[in-house]
Amino acid sequence: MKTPTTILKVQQQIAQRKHGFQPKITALIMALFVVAVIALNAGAVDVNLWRWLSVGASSPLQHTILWDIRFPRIVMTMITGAGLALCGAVLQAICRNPLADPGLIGVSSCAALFAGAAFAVLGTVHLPLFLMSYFVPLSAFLGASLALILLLKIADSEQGMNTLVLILAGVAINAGAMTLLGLIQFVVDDATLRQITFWSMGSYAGINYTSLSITIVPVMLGTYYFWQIRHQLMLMSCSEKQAKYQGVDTRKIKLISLWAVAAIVAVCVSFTGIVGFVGLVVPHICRMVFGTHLKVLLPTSLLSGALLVALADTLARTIIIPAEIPIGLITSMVGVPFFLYLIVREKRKFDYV
Amino acid sequence: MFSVEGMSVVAGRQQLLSEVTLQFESNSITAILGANGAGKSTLFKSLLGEYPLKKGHVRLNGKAINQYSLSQLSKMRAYIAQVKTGFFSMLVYEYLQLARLQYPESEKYSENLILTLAEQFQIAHLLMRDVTCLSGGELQLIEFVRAYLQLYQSANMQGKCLLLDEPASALDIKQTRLLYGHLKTFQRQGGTVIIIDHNINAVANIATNLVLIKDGKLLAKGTSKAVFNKTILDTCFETNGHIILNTANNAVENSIYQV
Repeated sequence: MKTPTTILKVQQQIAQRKHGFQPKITALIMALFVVAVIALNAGAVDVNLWRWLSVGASSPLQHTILWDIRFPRIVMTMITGAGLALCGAVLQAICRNPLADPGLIGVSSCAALFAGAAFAVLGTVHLPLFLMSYFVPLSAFLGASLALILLLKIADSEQGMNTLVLILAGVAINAGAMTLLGLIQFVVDDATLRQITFWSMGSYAGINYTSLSITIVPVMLGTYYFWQIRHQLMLMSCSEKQAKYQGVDTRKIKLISLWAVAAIVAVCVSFTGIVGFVGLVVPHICRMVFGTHLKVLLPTSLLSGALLVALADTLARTIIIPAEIPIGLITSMVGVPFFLYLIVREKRKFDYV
Repeated sequence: MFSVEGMSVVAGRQQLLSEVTLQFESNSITAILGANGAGKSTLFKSLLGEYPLKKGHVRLNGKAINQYSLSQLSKMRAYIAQVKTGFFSMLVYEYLQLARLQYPESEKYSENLILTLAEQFQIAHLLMRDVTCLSGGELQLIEFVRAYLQLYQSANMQGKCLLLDEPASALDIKQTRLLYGHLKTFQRQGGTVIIIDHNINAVANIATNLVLIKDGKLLAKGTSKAVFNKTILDTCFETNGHIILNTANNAVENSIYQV
């Protein structure tokens, strides 16, 4: 037998790699904290975390702005950003398609359709106040769930789930939802049209602890589940058949993952409207910057998604004080150029697809 | 080991396999031969449990394959496809780690196992390379080691089966020899190998048994020595060839079928 110098070298490299990505994750977490502090201090009203710390609540109004308005909003941006990016990474692995994102399987457009219908209803019918504030989110959630059930009915069979059928069905559902939404937009009056348009560009205004706690549950559970099945997902992203032969229950994993994705997207979209682009681009950016293995990609996507959306929301509400820019526009404005830059830089390394 | 009884497979109106009864013994290498479209791949996929059978049974170690869980099956039989494409980028080492997914063992244990086997099958120098950057031959050797790792519980491979679908289609002569050598090693350890290969001369060299399929029916089965003859091969491939015997010794290893 040869002298095992290669083996020794390999052992060293394995040991190095095992902890190689931990500093990056630590850095991301630190960045997230910094952004959180900045976001807490920025805004239309001059309230400062330092002043609050040194003097205590200087006035009840300032306390309310800091902890009842800004804080839940910032946490919400992070939770939804993390959730959307995570869903994108998982869908891309399951569909073995780099273009997959929560928008692709029709979930967010169906949510948009139902939200639009809800706005149309609110414009004509007077509902009791407590129902009014949750009517749109509830409808959006209903739409997202309906899209998923429809999708699974079409794509699932005894033999397993065909990924191509899944994507095609998603595209069809997307197109159908968009058409119906167009119809609604055509019929409603100008004020409602404006509401629908703003909703579909996303906004974190008016987030409170109730909506935050509803959102946090599916995102946490989904994160936990996806982390548990990261190796199975990795096998499935190589070849679904082979994964099955290697003992992975691919049908079950697909089914649960899709439910988890839909639940996460549904809660994220329901309260804040469509924050586009995060699910598609954040996982790609993380792949190029941190690596393609899901054990790295999942945590980094999660953190980067949170970072991107938190930053974007801070910009959205500070650029043109006292008004707010729709956050969907900001995520695209920040993300697209950066994404293009990475594509151009890494053009030759596009082997991972 | 693997046994097939009275198996028929129908797709739409087409009868792909009819009434096939076969035994794959432990400690043997069986090559499945046949012209294109004869039903080799169908037979293969039936062994993997891919098709619902119209009639008959596929048994693995005495038990019908649909009575095993996917995880149990994965420890008893492994499949190696033709050269694969469409990987997401990852290290060969990380890819091999995934083969141990079904075993509850410490990371240190699987690391040692992977390193030992990589050394044994001479792929240690590839471990830190990216799977997307390997040549077809290297990839196929990695696939073999992956399958071996998937089955490995001890060096005794009794009751374990490797299924290979044209593994050598992208390999040069040297790589083919290397891969076939590994298959021999696996057989010596008690394992069962079932292989489809279009290069009948190369595969008859290592196979202990041959199974010939024509039009979805079993044409002939038996030891390589008994089945590798002009009449049967002519019928199977509808050709008119002849067998060249190496006179140095009369073993099957040295006979070649030529058209």
